[in-house]
Amino acid sequence: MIQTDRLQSQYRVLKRNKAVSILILALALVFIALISLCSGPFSTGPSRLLHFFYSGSGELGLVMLEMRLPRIATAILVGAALAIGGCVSQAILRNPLASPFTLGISSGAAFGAVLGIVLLGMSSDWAIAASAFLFAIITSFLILEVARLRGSSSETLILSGIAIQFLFSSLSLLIQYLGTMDQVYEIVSWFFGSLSKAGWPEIGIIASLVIPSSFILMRSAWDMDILLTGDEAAKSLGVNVRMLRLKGIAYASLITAAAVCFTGVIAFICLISPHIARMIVGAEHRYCLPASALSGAILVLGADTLGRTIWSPQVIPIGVMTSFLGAPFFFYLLIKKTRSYWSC
Amino acid sequence: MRFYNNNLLYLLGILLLFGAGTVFGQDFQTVTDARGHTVQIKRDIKRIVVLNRSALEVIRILGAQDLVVGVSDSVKDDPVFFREFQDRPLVGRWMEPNYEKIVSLKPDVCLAYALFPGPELEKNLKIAGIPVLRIDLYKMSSFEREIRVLGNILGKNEPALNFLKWYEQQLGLIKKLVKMEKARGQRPPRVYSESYSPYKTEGPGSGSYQLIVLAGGEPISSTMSLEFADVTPEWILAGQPEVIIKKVPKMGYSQDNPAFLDRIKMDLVNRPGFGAIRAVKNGRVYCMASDISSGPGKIVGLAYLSTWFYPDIARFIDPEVIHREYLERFQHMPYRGVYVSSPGKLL
Repeated sequence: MIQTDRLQSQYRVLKRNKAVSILILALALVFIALISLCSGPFSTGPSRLLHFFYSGSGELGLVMLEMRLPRIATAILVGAALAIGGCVSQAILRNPLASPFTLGISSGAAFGAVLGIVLLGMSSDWAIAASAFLFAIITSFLILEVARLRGSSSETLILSGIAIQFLFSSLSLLIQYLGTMDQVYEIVSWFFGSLSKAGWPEIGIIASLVIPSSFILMRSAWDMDILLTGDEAAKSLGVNVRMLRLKGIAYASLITAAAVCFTGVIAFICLISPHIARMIVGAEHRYCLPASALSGAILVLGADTLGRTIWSPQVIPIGVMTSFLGAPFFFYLLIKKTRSYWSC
Repeated sequence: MRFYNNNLLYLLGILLLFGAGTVFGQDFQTVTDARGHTVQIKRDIKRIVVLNRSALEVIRILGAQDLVVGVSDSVKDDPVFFREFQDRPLVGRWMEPNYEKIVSLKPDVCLAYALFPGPELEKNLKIAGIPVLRIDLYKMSSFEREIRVLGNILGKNEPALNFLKWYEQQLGLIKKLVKMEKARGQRPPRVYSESYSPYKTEGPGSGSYQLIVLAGGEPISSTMSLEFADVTPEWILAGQPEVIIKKVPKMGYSQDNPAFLDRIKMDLVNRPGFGAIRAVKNGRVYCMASDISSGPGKIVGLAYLSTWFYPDIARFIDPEVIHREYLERFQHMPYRGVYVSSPGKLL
C-alpha cells in the first residue's frame, strides 16, 4: 500500500514536472515573441511597445500590425505545425528519423512550387502556394495508397516515402533545369524559405488547417504511446494500428502542407523539435506533442528574429538559420542527456 | 666547316622561333574578361557560340550575326526579339551547356557570363582549344569597355565606336540634366529597387544600383554589403523610399498587352503595410521590363529612371524616342512592346 502511494506520489511529481516544463517552454516562447516584437529597423523599446498596445495606431501600429505580428504569428504557426508533423510521423512509424520530409511531403510541396513557377508561369504567391499545397496532398495520397495496397507497416511507409521523395526531388531538379535565370532564382528563394510573404489572410488559412488538425492528433496521443511498444502489443491492447497510421499520416501531411506552402521549405524543424521535446518532457505524447509544438515555434521564431536582425538590412534565410541554431542546441542536449528518451 | 654548320643551325633555329612567335603574335590577341582574367583569342574570328543573351544583342549592334554558329536556350526562348537566330544550333542551357555540341560546332570563341557556367566551361572547351570570353554587359562601370572588347575581337571596331558614340551622347545628356536638376536644388529621391523576387533588393556593386545612382537616385540599400539580399518589408517602410523600382523578369519586346506590368505594380502596392510608404502614397512606383534594365538597352532604362526621379527632365528627353532609335538604328527592328508600367496610381 505504501509502495503504491509512493509510486502515485512520484507519478504526480513527474506529471507536475512535465507540466511545469511545458509552461516554461510557453513562457520562453512569449519572451522570444516579445523580443521579436521589439526588434527591427523601427526603434520599439518597451515604452513604445506599451504605447502601441495602448493606442495601436500610427506608423508604429502599422509596423506592428501589418509586419511584425504577422511574421511572429507565421513563425509560431509554421514552427508548431512542422514540429507536430515530425512528432506524429516519428511516433506512428516508430522511427526517430521519420518526418514529413522523410515521407516526401516537403518534396511534393517543393515540386508543386517549382512546377508553378516554371511550367505554369505563376507569378502570384497564392498560386504558387496552392500548387505546393496540392502536390503535398497528392504525395500523402500516394503514400496512403501504397500503405493500403501493401499494408501499413512502418517499413513500407518509410520506404515508399523515401522513393517518393527522390522521385519528386528529381522532377523538381528537371523542371528547375528547364527554367530561365529568374525562375531558377525564384526557386532557390523558395527552397531557402521565407516568412516575409505571409500576411493575415495566409495566417488565417494556415491556422484553420493547423489548429484543428493538431487537436485531432492530440486525441490519439494515448494510442501513439502504446504504438511505441510495438505493432503487436498495440493491437493486443485494442489500438487500430492501421487506422492510426493512416490518420497520422493524413493529418501530419495536411499540417505540413499548410505550413510549407506559403513559406517554402524550412528544414530540420520537424526532425529536431520532437527530439528536443522528448528530452525535456519524455515520450508521452500528451506532453510531447505540445512540447514539440512549442519547441518548433521557439526555434523558427528565434531563428527568424536573429536572421533578420544580426546582419540587418540583409536577411539570412530562415532555412539556413534554423539549422545553424538547431544543430548546436541538439548536440548540446544529446551530450547532456545520458538516459534514453525515446521510450515512454 | 663544323663551326659554320653549327652556327647555321643555331641561326636557323632562332629564325624559326622568331617566325613562329611572329605568326602566333599575329594570329592571337590577348583580351581581359569580366573577371579580370586574360584570354588568348584568334584574331580572325569566323565562328562564335553565344551563351550570354546580352552579348547576342551587342553582336546585332555590331552587325556580326553571321558569325554566330550556336546559341543557348535563352535565345530560343525569345523568338520575337531574336528571330534571326532561331535557326542556329542550340547548344543547351545558358548555365549548363552541352560541351560536346559546342565542340562539334568548332567555334573560335565561346561568349559566356562572368559567373555562369562555372569553371567547367573553360575546362571542357580547353581540350578542343576553344577559348571562353566572359562578359557581363549589365554593369554600367564595365559596359563600354566590354563593347570595345567585342568590337575589337570581332573586327567590328567601327560599328562598336558608332554605337558607343550614340550611347555616350545619351549618357552625357542624362548626366548633364541630372546635374542641372541637383544644381537647381532638387534633392535626390530615396529609391527602393526590387529585383525579380519579392523583397530581394540590390546593393552597391549590382547593375541596378549603378543605374539608379547614375540617374540621380539615392538607393536606400547603400549600407548593404551584398549585391543581392533579402530584406524585410519593415526595413523598406523604415527607409521611406520616395520612388520604388520593380524589375520584372520578362522581355517587353514580345509583350502586346499594356496591362502586363500594371498587374505586377498592383501586387506590389497592395502588399501589407506598403500603403504607408511615400512612393506608394504619391504614385511613384514603376515596373521595368528586363530588356531596358540590363544589357545594351539599359541606356533606355537609365533615361526612364532619370525622368521618374526628376520629372522636369522629361521636358528635354523622351525615353521612348531613345528606345525607338536604339531598336531601329542599332537592332534593326521596329519599335513595339511594353517596357514600363503606367504612371501614377492605378485604380
